[in-house]
Formats: sequence, C-alpha cells, structure tokens
Amino acid sequence: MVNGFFLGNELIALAAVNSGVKSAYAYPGTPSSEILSAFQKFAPERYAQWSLNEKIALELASGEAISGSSTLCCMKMVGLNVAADPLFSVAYTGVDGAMVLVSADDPGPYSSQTEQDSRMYAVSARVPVLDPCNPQDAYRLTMLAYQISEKYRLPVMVRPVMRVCHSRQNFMADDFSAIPIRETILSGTFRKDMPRWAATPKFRRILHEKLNKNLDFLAAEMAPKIPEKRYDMAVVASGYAYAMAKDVIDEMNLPFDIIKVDMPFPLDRQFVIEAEMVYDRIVVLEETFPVIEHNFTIKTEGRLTGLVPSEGELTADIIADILLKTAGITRETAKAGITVNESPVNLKPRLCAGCGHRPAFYAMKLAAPNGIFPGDIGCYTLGVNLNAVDTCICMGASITFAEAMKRSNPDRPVICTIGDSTFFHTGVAGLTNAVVNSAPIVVAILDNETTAMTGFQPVPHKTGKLTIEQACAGAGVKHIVNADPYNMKKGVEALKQALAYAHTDNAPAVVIFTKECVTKTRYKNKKTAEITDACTDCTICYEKFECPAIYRDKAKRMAKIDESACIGCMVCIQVCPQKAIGVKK
Amino acid sequence: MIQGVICGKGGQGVITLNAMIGTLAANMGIPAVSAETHGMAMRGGSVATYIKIGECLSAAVAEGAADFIISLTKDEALRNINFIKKDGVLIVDTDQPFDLTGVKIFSLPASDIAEREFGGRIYGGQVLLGIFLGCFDGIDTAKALEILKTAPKISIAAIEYGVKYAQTH
Ligand code: SF4
Ligand code: SF4
Ligand code: SF4
Repeated sequence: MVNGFFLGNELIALAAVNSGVKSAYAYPGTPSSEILSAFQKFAPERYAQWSLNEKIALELASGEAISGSSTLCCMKMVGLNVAADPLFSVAYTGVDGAMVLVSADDPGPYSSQTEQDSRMYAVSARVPVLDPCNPQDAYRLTMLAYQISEKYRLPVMVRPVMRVCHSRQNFMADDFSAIPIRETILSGTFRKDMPRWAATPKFRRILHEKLNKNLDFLAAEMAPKIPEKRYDMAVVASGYAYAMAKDVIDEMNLPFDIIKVDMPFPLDRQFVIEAEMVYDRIVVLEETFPVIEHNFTIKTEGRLTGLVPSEGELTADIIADILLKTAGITRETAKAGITVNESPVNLKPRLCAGCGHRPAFYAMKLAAPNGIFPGDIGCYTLGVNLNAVDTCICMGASITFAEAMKRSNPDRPVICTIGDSTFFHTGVAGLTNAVVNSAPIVVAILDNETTAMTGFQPVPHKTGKLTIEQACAGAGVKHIVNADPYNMKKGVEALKQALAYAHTDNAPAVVIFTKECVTKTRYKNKKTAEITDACTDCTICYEKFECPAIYRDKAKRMAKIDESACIGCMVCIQVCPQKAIGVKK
Repeated sequence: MIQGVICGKGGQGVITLNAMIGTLAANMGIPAVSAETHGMAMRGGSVATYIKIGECLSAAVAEGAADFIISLTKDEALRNINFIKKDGVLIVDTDQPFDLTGVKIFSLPASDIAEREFGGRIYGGQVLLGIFLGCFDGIDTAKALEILKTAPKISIAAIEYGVKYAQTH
C-alpha cells in the first residue's frame, strides 16, 4: 500500500484499472487529459489510445464493449458534443461488457468555450450519470460505474467537474502490480445479435422500452438516503457542490441536513417525494445546470428560483451566502483588520517566449493587414493578444469559418489558423469541404508537433505513418508549402503567395508553419538577444509582438530582455523597426 | 485544520509546491485536499491553488479564511490577499516591501537566495516550503523533516534554510 496524494484524474484511471478495463480511449482536453496518461502509467500492459477525436474514441470504446470487453473513454464536455452521436445510439443498444464514459466539465469556465453540463447529455441520451465530489469519491464512483455497467449492460457516464479532476487528495493505493488480470482484459467475445447491435427503427422502440425499465430499477437501487432528521431544512447536492456545502455546513454549524446524490440521473421518484414530505425547505446545489432540481416540484429552491447563480463556478463563499440567506442568519465580516494599500499588476496568459506561433501570427498580420483571421482551439487561441485571431468557436471551426467569412466578405483576404492536433481532429473534413466548394482561403497550419495546451499528448503525423502534407493533398489541396516561423520574411512571402494562389485558382492554399513546441523540448539557444541604445521605445517588441522575455525598463525608457527567459529564437531582431536588437555577443 | 492559497505565475512550480505539501501531509497520516488550475492559465497567467490540511471534503477556501498564503510573486500575493484571515501568514518570494498590515509577513527573495546558496532558482519554492513548515505550531516540523529525509540533499538544504528563517524572523 502506498499513501499518496493523487489527482482526481489519476484515481479515476486507477479505478478503471482495478475494475478490469481492457482498453481506454481518449482525446485530450482540459480538465480530462490526465486520465488516459495515468491509465497508461498504472497499467502499461493494457491498451490505451489517443484517438483523433472524441467521436472516434467513443465509437472504439463502444465497439469493444459491445464485443464483451470492459472499456474506458475520456473527454472534456465539449468533446462530448462531438461524440454525442454514438452516445445516444449506444444508450439504446447497451453493451455486452462494460463501458464508462468520463466527461469532465469546466464550470467557470477556466479552459473552455462553454459551461455546459454533461449530465444534461446523460439525461437526454438516457445514460446513467455519477457525479463525484472529490478524488476519493471519484475512485469510489468510477468503481461503482463499472459495476452498474456490467450489471445492467448499459454505458455509464462519470461526470467530474474541473475541481474534482484537478484536486489532489490523500489515498491509500494498492501496489499496482498486484492487480489481478481478468479474462475480459485479454480479449472480447462478440456475440451476433442483429436486432440489438444493428437495430432497425422497429427494434429501436423495443430497446428504448427495455432501457426505460432498466433505468427505473437502477434509480430505485441507487436512491439517495434520507438521513435521520435533525433540521427542517435540507441541502440536496451532488458533485463538488456537495463537498463544498458539507464543509461549509460543518465549519459554520448551519441548520441543514445534507443529502448526497451520487447519481443525478436517473433519480428515484420515491426519494424526491419523500424528501419533499420530510423537509420544510430544500436547497439544491449542483453544477452547472438544474438536473436534480428539475425533479422537485415543491418546497425547493436553487437555480430555477434564482437562489443559486445561473452562471460561473460555485465557490465556498457563494454557497455560504446561499445557506446563510436561506437560514436567515447574517454573517459577521471576518476581514476587518487587514489593510492593503497596493494593488497587483494584471497578468494575462501569453504564448511562451520563443513559441513558433507568435511569428506565424505576426507574419499573417504583415501579409494581410486588412485580413480576417478565424482561429481555433489550442495554445494558439492566444493569438487574440496579437490581434491575429478574430473568431474562436469550436474544434475545427477555423477552416469552415474561413470559407464562410470569405463568402460573406469576398474583398478581404482570409487566413485561418489551426493547430496540428486540431487539424486531424476535425480540420480535415472542413478543408475537404473548402476544396470541393472552391473557397479562396489560406489555411495556416501551426504545427508544433504535439498537443501542447493539454500537456503534450502525441499527434498523428509524428507516428511516421502519415504527414500533414499528405492529409492536405488527400483533401484535394494543390498549393501546400512549408515555412519556418522563425524566418519572418520567408513566412510573409509564403503567405502572400498562398493568398495570390487562392485568388487566381479559386481554391484553398495551405501554409504549414512547423516549429516544435519549445516548452515541450525545453529548447534554449546558447545565445540570447540583446537590445542596444538604438531602441526608441516604440513598444512593438514587448507590446505588439509580446514576447514575455522582453519588458519595458521604465527608468531607461527602453525595452529590455530578460536573459533567463529569452530562448534565443532571434525573431525579435526581425521585428524591431529600429534594428535595435541584436544577438548578444 | 490549516488551509491556504499557494499562488504564482504559470510555469513557476506552484502546482509542484502544492503537491509537495499535500504529499507531506499524506505521509504524516493527515488527510488533505488541494485544487489546482491547469491549461490556459498555465501559459504565463496567474495560477492559484488551494489546500486544506485536516478533515474536510473540498479544497474550497473561503475569503478571509486562509491561514496562509504562499506566493512566488508579490503581485500574485496581492491578487489573492482577500483570502487571508486576520493575523494569517503571508510567505512571499520578493525583494519588494509590502504596504500591508494585519497579517504576519515573511517576504524574502527566495529564488535569488536559492540561486546563490543552492545553485538554482527552482529551489526558491523549497525555501518557502521550509518557512511554512517552520512557522505553524500545528505542524510537527521535526517529523516533517524526518519524512523528507529521502528527498535530494539540495532540496533538504533549501527547506532547512526556510525552517531556520521562519524560526529566526
Ligand atoms: S506550450 Fe508550446 S505551443 Fe504552447 S505557447 Fe508554449 S511554446 Fe507555444
Ligand atoms: S521594437 Fe525595437 S525600438 Fe521598439 S521597443 Fe523594441 S527594441 Fe525598442
Ligand atoms: S530572441 Fe527575442 S523573441 Fe526570441 S525569446 Fe528572446 S527576446 Fe523573445
């Protein structure tokens, strides 16, 4: 036994390993990414795959589970939008082995486009969903999810929020090598069953009916326990909101009973009726949508009544305010006695010093000063700081938006940016569409040879089995050029030529900017750049170009380079209009 | 229970420092929960992590409730100052003075000291960890150091430097 301090994501992976999972599939996305890496770490002999996208991951996990195996599939909630198609269908067919889908939510949001609630998908697809409150609970509920999946032959969702994925907690873990390997881990046994696995609409209705019955049994089996009554008011909560509410109630001694809901859907009707009978007032706390709350009809407050804010993450302070208000207690201010006479300088996230994306964005601005620049999802979304990302909608939408923007704004050049991983995720289909429909756009593929944003997961073209050029050519693109982003002049030229080609040939052109992520490789040139007295403090290098290694020396009124941060890409030298930057001797 | 905020800029080792404290607690047989932010915030933006050491379910620290803040920059200490409670402990890596009253402040250029004394700026975090271990009566400093014995020698030296600093300031 080892007493460790584990991430929620690690304990989800450990539970999957201990439940006998044969294969795990995922596409990286904050806050879910560490689950598959941990699975690989805990059980290197089992199969783990970073799939090209979430739909593919879920179909592979489902296919194996339909073959009698036990599988794990992980993604972030916006990935579930991509994977929704197989989810809804597999909910009806069920599985023959076991399958757990982990969809991690990001209330806040901290690293996402939306605050959507994966549990709403579970409700609408009719898939049971478990909502863990902290890392230890995530272990327990993932184990339970596999038991439910095996018993009812249904896919089961586990929905941790970011605060569960990225919390750490003490946990006594077994020695991993001692985990017994079961038969199912080794191979599946596909049993043909056409009315089920290839159901026509007529059979689908039958499957739906069976599913509904199963869900009723499961709801009853998993009904939350009403505790011995101490107060007239109760908090009904799930997930991280439960953990916070429990701590707040204990620490502040508030007059509420608290009921934990492990499984927000399906929720037992009988439990709801009983709770409404036992208590005078019920406060429902959950993130981010009122999934549990919708089951209650009387005496209940929460998001639907405006007591709980409808957007943003719940915090200990928000929950304390809600409960104090409900209980009619006024809170004494604890902060009196501290005086602060200064305020912090604001920090915004920026591309790393020496990142290849920065000069690529800068080149785009130079090549097309009045251009429209649809962007995509990854580190390079930070191109907004350089005014070179005009839209950011969802994975792959840079290319489709480029086609659309060009059609709406035919007189303006359109250059979109998409990362290598995102390109293979959903970019290829958009690019094919642009070719087929003669869109005169330039697609700049920012190839950093990794999935950097989420922790450097591998990318398809680094397997040596295919290249980005081949994928573009396969999509029908005729103009494909490579450019080194560190060479600004050539980068601008490549983009200008691509724009010219796109307009004369009425077809998309691709420029691939390749520079391996310097943060992943920890690249550092032996030489750094240096700023001379010729600097006129024009602000370009530290504001417009925004290299984090360059700052303004207020006293000297000139730019300065922080040598410990400078990695020596020497792009700033090409950017400075005064030729005030050189290589340090 | 001891609860606090550990913060700094992305890439400074905030998460590592938090995990070190939690692992130490776990090894001392004390339950602990922490919360981190990954992803976009890590590209040089502000990073705040939370930790509660003792019996609890969440790592959510309320405003005015933190017993301590450990910050790798002065700005991040100020950004999270609303979390600290009266007479809480503020441990900060900075050479700038604070214009702040009502809390106990340990501010020192820990990374500079670490570079000078231990040959690397990264050990600055360990110096701060040492101060943390040295300034709370609730923490058995001797036991903590005993558990840390297996850590690399330089780390231990940096932590001990911090412990001593806390005991003499
Ligand atoms: S992690 Fe890599 S790709 Fe992302 S901003 Fe930093 S250098 Fe660029
Ligand atoms: S771009 Fe050149 S002139 Fe302008 S601030 Fe930077 S170093 Fe000085
Ligand atoms: S060479 Fe210039 S642009 Fe490159 S990291 Fe150093 S300061 Fe930044």
